[in-house]
Amino acid sequence: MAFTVTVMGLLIFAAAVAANFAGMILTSTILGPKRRNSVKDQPFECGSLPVGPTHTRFHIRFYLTAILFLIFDIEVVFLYPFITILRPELGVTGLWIMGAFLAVLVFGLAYEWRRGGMEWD
Amino acid sequence: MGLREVLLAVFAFGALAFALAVVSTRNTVYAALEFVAHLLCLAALYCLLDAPLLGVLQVMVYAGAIMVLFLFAVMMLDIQETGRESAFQGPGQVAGALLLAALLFALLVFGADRFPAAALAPAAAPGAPGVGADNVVRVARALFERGALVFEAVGVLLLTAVVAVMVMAKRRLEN
Repeated sequence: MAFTVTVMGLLIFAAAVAANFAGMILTSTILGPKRRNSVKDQPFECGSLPVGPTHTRFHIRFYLTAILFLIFDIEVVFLYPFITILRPELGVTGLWIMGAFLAVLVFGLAYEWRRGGMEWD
Repeated sequence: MGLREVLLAVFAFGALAFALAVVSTRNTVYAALEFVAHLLCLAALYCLLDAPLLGVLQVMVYAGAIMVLFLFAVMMLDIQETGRESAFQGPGQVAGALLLAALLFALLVFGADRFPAAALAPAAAPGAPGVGADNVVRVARALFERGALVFEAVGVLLLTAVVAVMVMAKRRLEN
């Protein structure tokens, strides 16, 4: 019974989101004035004329950002089980455990910052 | 057939459909996005089978981090849409693929026939120890009560990874 209620709630929520999404697009499609011309059909580039193809290579420096995101994402994984038992069981001890873990990673973040990992040059 | 079985079937079909789309799509960025949809279907299956922690980790680590890495690799390599020729080269490959598909299908049919209840039923009754939300709590206890020291060591391991990434990336830039 509880499972059915949860799933029905989720389904109603999903239906509401889909209806909202479709409603906004449909309303703007029906009500919005459309005077198409070749300039309007170009990709929007902040008022400037497009200078090249939109599908270009990303710079290799972004890879550093991606790898660092991966490492800090793994860190977030531990926060989910942690919060489930923080208040009922772990208490202040838990805060110390997680604080030490996060401090080690903040140290890593500081090192990355200092080595210029967040700078373009 | 209850609601759980219907949803299991829907998400299993979704996972299969998106997996097929991944291998048949020529545009690599679309294929990566279909892979995300496939992973989300798998996460829904885990949640339906009373393993919410695995479901959340699937979304955070695979659909989040790993896929971001895939997309970055695809965008940096600038892989163009491959030609329209068939993925199969020659009749031998087609025959082999069909034979393997038939074998897998037979295995699934006979397997499902033998273990229908075990394959679809939840691990235990809802609310039983280790099932559903209790699953997360048990993992948390193991991590933060019994394995706190190991958990801190994981922090040091991640720190080492950050330092290694910086050292390697910077060395390459300086050269």
